[in-house]
Amino acid sequence: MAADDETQDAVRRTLRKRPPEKLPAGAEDRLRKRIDTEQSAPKRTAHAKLKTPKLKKRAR
Amino acid sequence: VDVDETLVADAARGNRDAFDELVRRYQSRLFQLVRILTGGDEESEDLVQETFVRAYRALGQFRGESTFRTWLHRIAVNVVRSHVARRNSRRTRAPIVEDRDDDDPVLGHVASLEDLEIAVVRRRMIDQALARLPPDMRLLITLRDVQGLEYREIAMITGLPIGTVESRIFRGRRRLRPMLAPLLVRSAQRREN
Repeated sequence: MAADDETQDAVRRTLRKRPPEKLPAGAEDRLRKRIDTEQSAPKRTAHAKLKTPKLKKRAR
Repeated sequence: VDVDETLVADAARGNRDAFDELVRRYQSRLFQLVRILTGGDEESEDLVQETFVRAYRALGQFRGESTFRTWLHRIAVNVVRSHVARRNSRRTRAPIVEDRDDDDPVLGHVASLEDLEIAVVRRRMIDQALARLPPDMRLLITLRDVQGLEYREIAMITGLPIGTVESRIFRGRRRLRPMLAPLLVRSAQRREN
């Protein structure tokens, strides 16, 4: 039981110390620009959907 | 008052600076998560971007039933799962981490590569050990032991009962023990010195 506890603790501590890799250079700017495009993109609202013209059925 | 709560409330009201601050607080953590779960996929940055874009779109629907951290991790896990499923179906890329066999040369020889930086070697060994776990077990262990999430948060993210989360993490650590042995030995040696 003590060996199990030791294993759990040792592995947990080792994983917790995983050295993080750096974000790629410019990643934050690229994300900001992408969010900018989200902000400016027109949203498709329920109102807009209602106004979408329906195709007329072809008369036989 | 929880900082995230304040930032989320402000961001939901359209405060862009607040959302940018949330990005700064979490993007590095999410990058680590995505890198591990995808086996260091070159598209990791895109997947982190996609996570934040989805969060941004859905911010108005965030009801605070979980913490923002839990909610954001759940989005990231879904983004990664979709990506891995697409990648597997393409089958034109290099083999994914789940398919790596057990005699991967890097892990076997990495300890002798003294010219590599210790941090890089250490990270690679950890990632390769994690890559040998079944994907679901790897996810749980990564969320708990690398990301530091609570068991109840992991249960919310994965939809698994908390007891299942605990037992799988317990078994996962047992499986990792021999694979991480060189690192565990080294830390013991350092303590002795």
